[in-house]
Amino acid sequence: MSHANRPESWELVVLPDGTSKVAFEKDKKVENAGRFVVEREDHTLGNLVRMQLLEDTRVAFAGYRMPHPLEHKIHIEVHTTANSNPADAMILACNNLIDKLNRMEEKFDAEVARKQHQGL
Amino acid sequence: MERGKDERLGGEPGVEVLHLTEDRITFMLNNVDISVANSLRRVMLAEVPTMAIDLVEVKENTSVLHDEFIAHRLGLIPLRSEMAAQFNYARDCTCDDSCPRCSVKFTLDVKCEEAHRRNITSKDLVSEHPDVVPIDADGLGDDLGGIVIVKMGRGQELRIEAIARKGIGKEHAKFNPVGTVAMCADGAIDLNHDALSTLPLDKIYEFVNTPTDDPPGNCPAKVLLYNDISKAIQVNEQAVDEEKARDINFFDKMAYFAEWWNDFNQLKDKTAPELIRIRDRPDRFIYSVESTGVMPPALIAKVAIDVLREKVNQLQREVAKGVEDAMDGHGYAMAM
Ligand SMILES: [Zn+2]
Repeated sequence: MSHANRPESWELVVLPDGTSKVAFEKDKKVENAGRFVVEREDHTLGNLVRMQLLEDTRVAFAGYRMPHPLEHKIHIEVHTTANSNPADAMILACNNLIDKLNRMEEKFDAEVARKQHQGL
Repeated sequence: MERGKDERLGGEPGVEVLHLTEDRITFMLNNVDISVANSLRRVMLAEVPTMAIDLVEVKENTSVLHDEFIAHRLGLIPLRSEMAAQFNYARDCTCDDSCPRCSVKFTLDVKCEEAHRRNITSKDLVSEHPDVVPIDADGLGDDLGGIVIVKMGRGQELRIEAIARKGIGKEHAKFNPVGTVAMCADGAIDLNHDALSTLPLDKIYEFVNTPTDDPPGNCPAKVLLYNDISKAIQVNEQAVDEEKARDINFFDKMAYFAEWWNDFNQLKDKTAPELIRIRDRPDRFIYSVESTGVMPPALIAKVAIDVLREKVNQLQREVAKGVEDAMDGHGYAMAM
């Protein structure tokens, strides 16, 4: 059976040769603004990071989009105030998210252990 | 209307496991944004790695189903995947085609010798790996307790070699570890005591404990109580907790109930107050995760948190590396 037109299923996941996972395009007109192009990611990461960026008071604008449903990448646009920059804001947002997820996992493990103990 | 005391605490995310069985976990996530809650749901659905049959070589097939049909069915058989973390993805593996680090071989070799037909099920599949085997489907479907692949008549034969690989639901739905991941915002029940006290007693009894089975005016699961002494209706918080752990649609049903009674109260007078209001609590989310049997439901949620963290971690690493490269004067230019 031939499926000549069908894209390979791993195209959604595997980074193509010669591309980098994250690229940054500085905005040509506006200071402290730019776009991160994140390869092989979707709304799962895009929306998560955008909302965390917006928690930062130095972030003036944060948004994400999937430019095309068949192109497996997202754009995350960040515009910060003068006392920060997109890269710093992104790193801070990621660190805060990692922190949150760490604490969530600790609590989840403890809760599951408690519930399993209760069940016995 | 009073607000719950722990509402909008801010700070630490919290987790509460409401219900845990072999194939289902119901838990509540507190103090998180809906973006975190939704991402976790999406990862549980599509990005928790599992094992599934991915490559099928048909040596002999005289059954009534054609080769592709059987190959497709084999792919959809859930395989125990607790060990998935220890396998490589075949595409990342150093081997040429397949090896024990990225694949598990299965064989199916059956011939129907019985006078009548026999069922070929997932129990006829022989795995090379003791832990990557078809799920125990006892009590499901066929009496034999396996997942039926094909029914064969006398003399028919099926000889197959298959390879299971690691994958995620994003690639193919057969890798999806969950039957459902239901997620909803937690709710709260607000009673308007002043308005309720104007109801006649028979209506109050009907409100808390409708004697008929007739929805929608029927209070789901009897979570309201009438206190004869204080002459007041109360919310039975314990019953609410039990009910939301049991039924993810509980607050939807309550909203339906509330709408019916508020409409009833406003029949004669459109300006009459609402009797009861069901409020969303957008910082608390209830999940109900049902495993297909490939791994315990708590493990699915745990792996999902790991996967999500690794995604963020990778983004952080890459951006930090970009900043370093920019400082060294090569790589792409970061806004400094
Ligand atoms: Zn290999």
